[in-house]
Amino acid sequence: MDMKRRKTEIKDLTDETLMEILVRVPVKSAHQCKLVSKHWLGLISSGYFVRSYRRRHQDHHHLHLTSYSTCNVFSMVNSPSNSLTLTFEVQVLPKNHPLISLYFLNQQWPMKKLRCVSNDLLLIESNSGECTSDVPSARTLNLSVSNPLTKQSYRLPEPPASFLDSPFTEFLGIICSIDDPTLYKVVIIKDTPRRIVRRGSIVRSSEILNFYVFSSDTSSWCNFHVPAPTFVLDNPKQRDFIDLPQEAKLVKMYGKKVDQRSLCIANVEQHLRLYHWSYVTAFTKTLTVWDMKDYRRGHGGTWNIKNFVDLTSTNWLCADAWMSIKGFDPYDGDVLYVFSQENHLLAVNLRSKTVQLVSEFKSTLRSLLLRFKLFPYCPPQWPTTITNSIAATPTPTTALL
Amino acid sequence: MASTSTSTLSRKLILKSSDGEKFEVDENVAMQSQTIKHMIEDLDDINSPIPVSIVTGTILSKVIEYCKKHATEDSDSDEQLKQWDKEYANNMDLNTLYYLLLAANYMEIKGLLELITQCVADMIKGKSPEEIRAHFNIKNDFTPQEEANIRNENPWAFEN
Repeated sequence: MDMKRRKTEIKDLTDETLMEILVRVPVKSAHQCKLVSKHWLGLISSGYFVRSYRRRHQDHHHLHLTSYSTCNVFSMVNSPSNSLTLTFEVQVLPKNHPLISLYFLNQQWPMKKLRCVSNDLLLIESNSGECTSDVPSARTLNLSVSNPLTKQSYRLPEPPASFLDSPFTEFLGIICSIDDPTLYKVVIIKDTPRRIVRRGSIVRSSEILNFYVFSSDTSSWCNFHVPAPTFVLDNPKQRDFIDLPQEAKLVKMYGKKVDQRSLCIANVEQHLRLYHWSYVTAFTKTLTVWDMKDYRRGHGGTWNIKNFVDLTSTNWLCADAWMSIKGFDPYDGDVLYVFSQENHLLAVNLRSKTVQLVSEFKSTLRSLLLRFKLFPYCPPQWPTTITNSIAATPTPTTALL
Repeated sequence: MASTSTSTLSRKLILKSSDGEKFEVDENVAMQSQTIKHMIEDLDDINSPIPVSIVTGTILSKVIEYCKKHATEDSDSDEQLKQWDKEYANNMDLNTLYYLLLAANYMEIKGLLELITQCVADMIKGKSPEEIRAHFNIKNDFTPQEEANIRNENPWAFEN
């Protein structure tokens, strides 16, 4: 480090130090920095950088819950003053709120339903705007992916023709990569049932599940047929099935054995999370949440009980009350959002065994909340880029890969 | 350049820069550097100079100035300390900032590293790519087509 010999330049800094600097630059400026030089572009585009950026700017104080319908976006502001108890304010955001307004979407397509949220991407099922046929094409699927932060949207090409053969959609979802801010996948799982018995006994007995996976890097759909075990995680290429924890199969509600389809998989704090998606009532008695931290492709992993709450020892419920589980807090895996009989949205902290009132809803909203899912929406500070962002309708790809 | 204000309670250490300059500092001042902290633990003779091999005397004196300010727990409020940090960083030219970054990295002084990286980040903030290149003396190695592609990928970032 001889100062006299020559001037030091920014290029003399290690990549690590330069990234330490860039990670402190606001998101818009940091994106503009990609244009500075190839070296900077490489650093800013790296998975390491995106990960560090997202970690550094993790916004713990804002959590948005969105309902199916576009006009209802609730913003929850987690009070930063006290990290132990969660206190929330809920506001219904104005239509043109710059952060999470979905209004821009309505200008592009008439909106139908918000189907899934992953990081900052929304998976939206829209009404077919340009349907010319007289025959109602009820089974075609118009899906688009939108990022409210960057106002980018992309209408997905139609799934392969075989998609229409099976009317039963088991699952529809979107998942974003943690590292690569341009990679996302949309997954549809379709069932081809051979025998359907009424709900309450055997629900399906099909042996094949059809996976349709749209990947942003290829901009096309892939189709996989997967033999259906009792329970499947979507890793069709590896045929990688993960078995349920033994106890999860034995949980009883209302004195009956619980249908395994009431089990919910979530990705909380980068771990797989398993819980029963269902109403929680005084009859339920226990609430168990499993976590899998060591999942590796092809190697499975171990389920561990993350939370076990004996509901009979809590004062959460009076005898005739029920709660509907809406999901976990993406930042704090111990916090569960539930909607209660009394129009209350509650944050249940399974760690401290405390319940906080998030908000009380008016009856009009209540019907919405009851009928529809709530999606925790917590956009990372480094947005997911939607390439091929639309203006024009993309040509449908029906190639079966 | 050597330490002026001394406390009789604290032990003294001697830091030696890469160009041989020696600085006598209170132990609690020097201990803000994790690197020196570890070196002291392994040291038999506390009176022998501790080499800070890649940092010159000019830079080391500035590092010590920072450490001294942050070693005294009394007097200043957080607000005052922040103000002091700000002025401290603003008084450095770019070249010195780079050296301080390298030194803070090597000596593992978290606060100083944080301060300088934020200071350089603030210089980048709000500047156009052209302005950043001019400010930091970076050569543009993109073709116009490549530039256009990057702009098209992130249109929202280039809107006002």
